[in-house]
Amino acid sequence: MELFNPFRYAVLVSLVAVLLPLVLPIGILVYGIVDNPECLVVKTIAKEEYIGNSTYRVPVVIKYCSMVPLTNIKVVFNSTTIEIPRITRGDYRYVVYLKPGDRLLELEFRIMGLYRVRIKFGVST
Amino acid sequence: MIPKVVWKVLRGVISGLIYYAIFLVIIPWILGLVIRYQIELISLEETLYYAGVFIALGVLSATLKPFIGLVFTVLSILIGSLFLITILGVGSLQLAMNISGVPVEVSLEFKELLMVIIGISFVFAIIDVFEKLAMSEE
Repeated sequence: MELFNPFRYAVLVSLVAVLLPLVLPIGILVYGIVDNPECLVVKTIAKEEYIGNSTYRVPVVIKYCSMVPLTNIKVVFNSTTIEIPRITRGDYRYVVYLKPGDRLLELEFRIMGLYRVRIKFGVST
Repeated sequence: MIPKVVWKVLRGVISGLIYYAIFLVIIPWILGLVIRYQIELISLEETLYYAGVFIALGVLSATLKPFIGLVFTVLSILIGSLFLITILGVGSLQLAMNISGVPVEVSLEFKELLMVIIGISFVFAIIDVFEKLAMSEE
């Protein structure tokens, strides 16, 4: 029975070594967002500029406070989508072209390229 | 002196409880802790049913001849993995919440993590099988 114990311990150590880097990013991000709900914010700035054809040029700011990088970010509005390859902690400014009544529908990203998170806004619960 | 078969049954019950604890208590609890979301087992009856299945398989595995018993050891791992996959929604959790009065639906996919956990539990199953084979040869 003891013959297999070293092998068991080796697998246990490798389990911890593999799981820690997989679990830590998601844990850090979730705890960061729970502690500070303003950690990940997407908001439009009221400095919109009418460019004709019922379209407005609207600045969008993405604020992110966690040190876990987010990748493959998609910010979906009714008539347009912003795609960002990667963000880390900081403020990011983008410009979108929106029509009247457009709003943020969906935010999608991957935590460190691993876990896909999709947040749908305005979905009846 | 307690008969040998009682020890075997006790060992089976304990190993069944360990499999139950690993697959249906410890792993969901740790994952729930990480994602700050209570992963619920369905009901008390189903929980007892799951525990019963693992204990029965553990007892069968411990009391039968090693070559037949190892089939039940493997079954414990396979059924544990199946339960785990079912509880964790095939590695995709969905929850509805309200943020500043706006209804929001959040979905989180963690299939990779689930596959790693299940893969490593299979490695432990293989070790168990080899151990039983080695014991049967002694």
